[in-house]
Amino acid sequence: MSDEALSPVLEAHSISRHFGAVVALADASLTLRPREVVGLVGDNGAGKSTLLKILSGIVTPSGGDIVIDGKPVVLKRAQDAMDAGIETVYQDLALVDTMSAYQNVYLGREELSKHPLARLFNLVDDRRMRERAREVLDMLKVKIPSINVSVKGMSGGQRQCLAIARALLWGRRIVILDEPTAALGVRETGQVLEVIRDLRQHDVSVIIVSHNMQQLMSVADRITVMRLGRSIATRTVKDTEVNEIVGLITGAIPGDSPEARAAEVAA
Amino acid sequence: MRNSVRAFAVMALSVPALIGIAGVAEAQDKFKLGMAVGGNTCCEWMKAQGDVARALAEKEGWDYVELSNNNDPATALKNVQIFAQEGVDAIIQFNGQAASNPAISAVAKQANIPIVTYDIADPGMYFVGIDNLGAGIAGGEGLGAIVKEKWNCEPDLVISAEGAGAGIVNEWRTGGMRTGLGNVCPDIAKEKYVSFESQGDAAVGLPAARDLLAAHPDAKKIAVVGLNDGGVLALINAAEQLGRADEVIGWGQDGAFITGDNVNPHLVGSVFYFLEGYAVYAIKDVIKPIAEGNTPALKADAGDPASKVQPCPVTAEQAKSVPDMPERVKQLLAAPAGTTEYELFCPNKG
Amino acid sequence: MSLTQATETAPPAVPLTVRFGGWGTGIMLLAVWLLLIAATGLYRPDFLSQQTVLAIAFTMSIVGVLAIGQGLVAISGGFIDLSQPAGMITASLVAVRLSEAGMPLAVVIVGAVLTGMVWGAFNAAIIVFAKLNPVIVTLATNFIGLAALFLVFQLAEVPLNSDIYHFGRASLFGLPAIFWPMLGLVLVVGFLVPRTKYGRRATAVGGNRAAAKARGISLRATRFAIFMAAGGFVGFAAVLFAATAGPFNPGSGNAMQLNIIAGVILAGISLAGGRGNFWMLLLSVGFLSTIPTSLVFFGLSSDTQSIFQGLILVIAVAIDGFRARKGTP
Repeated sequence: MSDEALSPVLEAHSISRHFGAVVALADASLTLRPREVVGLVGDNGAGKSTLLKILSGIVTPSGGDIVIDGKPVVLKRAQDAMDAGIETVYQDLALVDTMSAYQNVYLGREELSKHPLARLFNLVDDRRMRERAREVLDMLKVKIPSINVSVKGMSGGQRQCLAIARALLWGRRIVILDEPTAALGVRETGQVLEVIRDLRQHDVSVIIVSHNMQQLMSVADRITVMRLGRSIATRTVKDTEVNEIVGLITGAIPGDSPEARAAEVAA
Repeated sequence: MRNSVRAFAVMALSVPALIGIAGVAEAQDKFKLGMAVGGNTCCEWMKAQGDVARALAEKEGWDYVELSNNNDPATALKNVQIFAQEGVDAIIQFNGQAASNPAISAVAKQANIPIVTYDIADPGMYFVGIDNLGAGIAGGEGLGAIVKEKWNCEPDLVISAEGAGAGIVNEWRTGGMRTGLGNVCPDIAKEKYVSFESQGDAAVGLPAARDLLAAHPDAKKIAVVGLNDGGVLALINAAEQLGRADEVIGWGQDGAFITGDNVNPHLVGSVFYFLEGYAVYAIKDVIKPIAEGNTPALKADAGDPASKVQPCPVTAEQAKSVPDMPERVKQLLAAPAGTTEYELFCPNKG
Repeated sequence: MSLTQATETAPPAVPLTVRFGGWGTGIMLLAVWLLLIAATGLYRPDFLSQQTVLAIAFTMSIVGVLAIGQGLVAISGGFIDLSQPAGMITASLVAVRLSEAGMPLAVVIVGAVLTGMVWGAFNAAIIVFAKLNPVIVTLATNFIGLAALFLVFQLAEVPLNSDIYHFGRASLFGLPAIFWPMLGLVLVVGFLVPRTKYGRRATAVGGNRAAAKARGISLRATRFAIFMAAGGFVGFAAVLFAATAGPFNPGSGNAMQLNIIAGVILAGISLAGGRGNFWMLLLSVGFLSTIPTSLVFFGLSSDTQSIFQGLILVIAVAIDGFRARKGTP
């Protein structure tokens, strides 16, 4: 599905992170191509969440390079990652309960009114924000009761979809999803996965962390496996099966040699 | 966090106590006077009472220890316990929260320390103070003279600015003022007497004063009495704000706002007690005799006090000749020992 | 509603309280207020007079401006600022000293407002750098501030016949002169908070700190800005206070605290943060300021007033908790 001929939107080379003597991440590499969904899997403690935090700018790496659109970047703060076009959607921290859907979607990046006097006071343009939010939600076929009411009463799936829609609206090109369906029911999970698939059509690439292999196989293009702080293998979904991925995670199947991984990254 | 606030408070309270203890420990043979000031932030005279006592004690060559009751009954009791532990020879207190007076009496009695109390009587303490009822009546008669002259004893309303927190003192003063007014103008109808809670504070009593005036929209000629000048001023300010001050005349108590450049024209009189100078009376009639070994008999009744402070009713005009409080303290301390402020400053000696 | 049709699943899912939005609070407050006025007016027809309006408007003015500051702290997640009394008296003292020096009213106002802002910055600095709970910090700074004030002065009063003295006694269009700035400030703040970038971000910080932070909003900057703005309102309230109070002492501001907090809660500005309409302060503060006046007309003593105020605070907190569970925006 993804366009392999195009150069990657994000490359992480040999990222490491030490906390004192503790090595949280030894050597992790990841490539994300335009309009691609990459699954990131691994046992607890394999280094997935550290890698995600580094890509979100929350944790700074001890070593390695991050390249976005061919240009090396340094992500020191969450804002740096957002500026570089990376949006991370967390399970619980995403939305302000007391605010409406469209206000949440635009939080921190409010559209200001065009009127010069209103601009002087930093007045926001609610009408435009509502319209745009509605457009994007319709585009992703996200169904919520109303964009004008508090998100408090919304379901987990609706909230997750809103957070994803926000990434699209803000023009992000890379969306990182951490266990997006962990707390959701079957129908809601379907809705979220549908939205993730739709993101491709809007030029957005996705990194998704999940423990649910079936789900990953249904939504991802490639899967990168991590074990003991290293990225040990990457497989194209259509050329692999669940058993192989599980074997790689547990160590029953050995990972690729460094050379093979280098070749994979280069490709 | 709460603990650290409490620790801070305890530390803050302990500092004066420790300084006091250090002072007491220094000289064992001197006569030691302990003074517990009222410590209510409302009133500058409470602080001045301590300053005058200190200066007079130093003149006598005594040691002087001062604690503040912080307007809190428990603190007042604790302070007397500290005095007892440190072996002072006599105590003076002003305890505006008189609920703890019986316990304080018991502590002082057990430690065999004579204790003087200002203004609020207790059976176990030497009473030094004003005859509050007398002061009230004197003020009421002063106001009555003006009400008779201006309005032929026919005011629309007589308002009492009460301060229930002052307990019996409030009743003596405001009740006394109504009695005094009635002495001059006996025919004011009972329903013309109304009151509001001023808490003895011009700023705090203001909203209640406005409400009371609003509830009597037709009253024009308004006479105001109160437990202190602050309470009366609350009503005068409220009347100014509601555009009804033209015919308001108030007569206060304690003289706090009747001197200086800022006297409100509607405050036509007050009664000076010269509260800051009470130590003169206490020392002359109680403490000094004790220091000299002639402990006087206990006189604890406000009606038959150990030392009676003379009230000084003044009109605003007469008050102009009375200096403000800091100046009075200065002159008082320069005067020969035993001279009272009444003698020095009262323009209207009966 | 037609515009939202496309994204709506089932229209009846929107509850009534939500459809009225924040205005439900307003309708309820207005109804209770009018009921109180009607009841008192029936009992005592002379309640409905210009004098009553003046008395209530005076009380509303200072409480209203302080409530704006308190509301800003609450909506941005600072819970409550317990240091308002000390802050206000400090700024009032500055106002008195400036007017004693013969400064024009404008200078007096600027001086007091700046004093309030410095006080707010002082609070914010402790909260932000020591990472402490704002309630505890402001409790402590109020305690320290009052003690320090008592060392500096016992009584202060603006000079008779100074500009500020007349400002405190003047009327304009049948209402106290000090009422109009309060009205203007509530209207302006109530307009700006939900409609400006900064207002919306501060509200978001109050609603969910972590989410706001994840959107790149600085929690420290927000805290500083809010406490300084709230301090500015305390400083302005100090001008109104000094203008009207007559002689005041360091403890004179303490009595207002409960009324202000009750006003903020009744207005629907959540103490939990993230929610509230400042325009509602006009109704809640108006209602609360009418209660003592009504009680006087009913012939009740001031002891009963304290009981009423306590009861209303309890009711207000209960309503706040109820709203928080319902999640009305």
